[in-house]
This record gives sequence, C-alpha cells and structure tokens, in this order.
Amino acid sequence: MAKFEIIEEEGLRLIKVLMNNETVRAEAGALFYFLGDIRMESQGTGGVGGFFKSLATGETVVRPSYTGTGELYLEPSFEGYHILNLQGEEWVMDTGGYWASEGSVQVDAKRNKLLTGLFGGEGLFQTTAKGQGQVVIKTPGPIEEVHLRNDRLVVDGTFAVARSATLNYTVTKATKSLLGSLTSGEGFVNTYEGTGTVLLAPNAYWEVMMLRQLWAV
Amino acid sequence: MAEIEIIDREGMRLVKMTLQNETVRAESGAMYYMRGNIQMESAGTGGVGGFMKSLVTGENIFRPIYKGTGELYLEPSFGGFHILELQGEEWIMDVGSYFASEGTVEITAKRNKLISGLFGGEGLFQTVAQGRGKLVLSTPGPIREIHLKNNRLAVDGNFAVARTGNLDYKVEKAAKTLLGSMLSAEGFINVYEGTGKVLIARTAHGKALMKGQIKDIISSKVAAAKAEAEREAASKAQQ
Repeated sequence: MAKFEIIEEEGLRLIKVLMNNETVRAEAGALFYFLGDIRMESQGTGGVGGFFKSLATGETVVRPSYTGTGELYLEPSFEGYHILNLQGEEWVMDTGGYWASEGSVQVDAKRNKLLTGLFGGEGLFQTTAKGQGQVVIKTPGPIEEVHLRNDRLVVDGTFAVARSATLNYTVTKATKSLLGSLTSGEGFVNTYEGTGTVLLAPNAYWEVMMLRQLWAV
Repeated sequence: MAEIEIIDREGMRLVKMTLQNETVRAESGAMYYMRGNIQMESAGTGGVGGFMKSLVTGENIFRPIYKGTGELYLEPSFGGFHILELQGEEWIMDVGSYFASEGTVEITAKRNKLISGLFGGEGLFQTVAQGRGKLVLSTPGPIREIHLKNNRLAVDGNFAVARTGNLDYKVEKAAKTLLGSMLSAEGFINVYEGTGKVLIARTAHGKALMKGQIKDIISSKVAAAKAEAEREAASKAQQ
C-alpha cells in the first residue's frame, strides 16, 4: 500500500506519497516533484468513455498515473487534504474535490439529475471513486464527517466535499412553496437522505477564507 | 573568515556580514548599510570573460566587492537566505539565487544545454560558485537539501534553488510521449541525476506567500477595472 502523508509547512499543505513498486493516480497538474525510479503515464480516468466523461464533468481531461518506487510530492496549497480509506464502497466527490488515489481505486464520473446539477452547485457530472485503497480529497477547510443512518442532512451552500454513493442526493426548495423559498433567503438547498457519510468543510482555513474575502471586495 | 548571520525581524530577513580585514562579494544593489572601514569596489564576477558571461546570464553585470573591517548589512527581504559552506565543490545556482559570497569563492557562469535552457525555466546560463568559503543564496522560502546517491529527482517548476556541479541536469518530457506530456498538464520537468545535492524551496515563507496572493488579486482587479473603463470610453466615443 502506498503511504500518503499530509505535510504542513508555512501555512501551506502538501501531500507526500511513499511508493514501493506501486501505482498512484493524481489530478492533472498536481505533480510537484518526485525522487527515485518513478515513471509518469497519462491516460484517461478509466472506464469506458472515461475521456468523454471527463470532458463533460468540466474537470481535467486526463489524470496521470505514477508507477514505481520512491517519493512523490504533490503541489502545495492553502487548502487542505483529507484521506479516505475505501473498503469497497463508492464515494461521490464535489467538483475539484479529487486530488489523488491509489491505483487500486477506480476513478470515474457520475451524472446528477438535471435539476440537481443545475441548482445544487455541484455541477451536472461528479467524480466518483470506488474500490479498495486510499483516496485523497482536497478540501477548503477541516473535515467534519456526518454519519447518517436513515436520516436527512440539508446543506445551504457548496461546502459538502464528498458523500457516500448510497445516499440519495437531491436539490430541493428550502420551504414548500417557491415563493416561501425565495423570501426565506435560502432558495435551493442540497439534501442528502438515507444511510451513509457526508464530508462537510463548514469552516474554511483562515488563509482560504481571507483570500476569498479579498476576491469578493 | 567573514562571519555571516541571517537576522529574522518582523517577518523579514536580512544578512549581516562581519569583516575582519576581509573581502566579500554581493549581488549588485544588495547593499543596505555598513559601518567601519569598508571600501566598495565594482568588479566583474571574475574569471576570463566574466563580464561577457554576466551579460549573457541576464544577471546583474557587476557584483561589487566589499573590503575592510566592519559590519555590512544587505537588503532585507520577505524571502529568505541560505548559507552554504563550500569545501571545494561546485554549486550551480538558479537565476536570481546568488546573493553574496566570501572573497575566496569564485563566481562564474555556466551554459546549459540548449533544450534545458529553453524549457527548464533555469535559463540558458547559470551562475556557478566554486572554491572554499561561505556562499549566501537568496531563496523564496525555507531550504530543503535533497541528497541523491545514484538517484533521480524530477521537479515540475523552478523551485530548485541550486545543485552541485557533479549532478547531471536535463529537461525531459513528463510523460513518454509529447502528447501525453501535454494532456497530463505537466509538460516538461527538470531532472537531476547521479550523486550530489539539490536545494529546493518547496514553499515560500508564509508572509511572502500571502503578499504574492494579495498582489495577484489586486492586479487582477485593477486590470478588470481598467478594461471596464476602456469599454465605457469606447462606447461613449461611438455615441
């Protein structure tokens, strides 16, 4: 198993991967540097039509894979990372949420329902990860895991970073009537129903927050 | 031997050199203040054709020499400095990394292979330091020494600050095929092979980083405002 580590330096975070004759996939452009006998190959994200799906998700077209033995470092960022250890289950990630994964994890794309895609802020297609192994998710802030057991989670905004595929995800009006939704100041909300886990980043890291505030000026 | 110290103050760093009837060299424009009996002399960077070489490196033409006894302070920076103690080995510096050195260290220029120079981001010529004594590098952030022992380091970007002269440096396509390199968004990478050391600054100092980000935001907002004003002026002119 490749060993993933989150390193914090000067307020930035970066991912280090220790590889022992293994394969790791990473987001395109994420390569920072590597040490040792590691070869890069660029290929689609797997699955039939992976290339076209990538086009449709609006995410990067090709996610390169790195094979060999050594240390691989990915680009640092003010944002943070969360490592998931998949035991066969499937996760659906927010746009831009995928960062890296072990070769044993299958990375694909999933189509949301039309209404959900248009109003939910998650886009029409989302990246999915399935299989056994680790997945690194990029997140604007510290992750809070919300475990649902036949329960319902409502989120106003786009700070849900990933969810188990077993959950039913819909976009609904905040109140029953359209007028009520508009006047309550909430409009549409993201709803997760059923049994599974949602990863939320309710608070961004302060550097991310400050830069967002500056952009908004 | 000149005493060299890095002073960290208010998130900025500056280099203090204490001279005892000694000679040091510094990047041109780096002098901040000095006290005591120190004379400044302008000189080329030494070596045959040093002047011409400096011209082609695109680096500063004259690196002045400071001689005498006293204290010499160099310009502070949001970035940082790294002191190397040369024991006769050769170091090759990235463009802009040379900051100061003891008089016993010889400073010259080295030509990279054409393709490395054009695509590697390190430029066609690089500054070389050789000899015995201290060498001060200017670096955007904390330095990490990577020791290679018959190994290979690949770097995507130009955050390698310096390398020992015995390493083989070249620029390679990231993936095997050119198309693969382009599709993967990685393009070309800098490769260091063999036995030696590479100094990398994988992150800038926190305050320098924040300053850079804020500068980017401000300049993009200023550019947007300018474009908007031009559009308005153009539509008014049409009316």
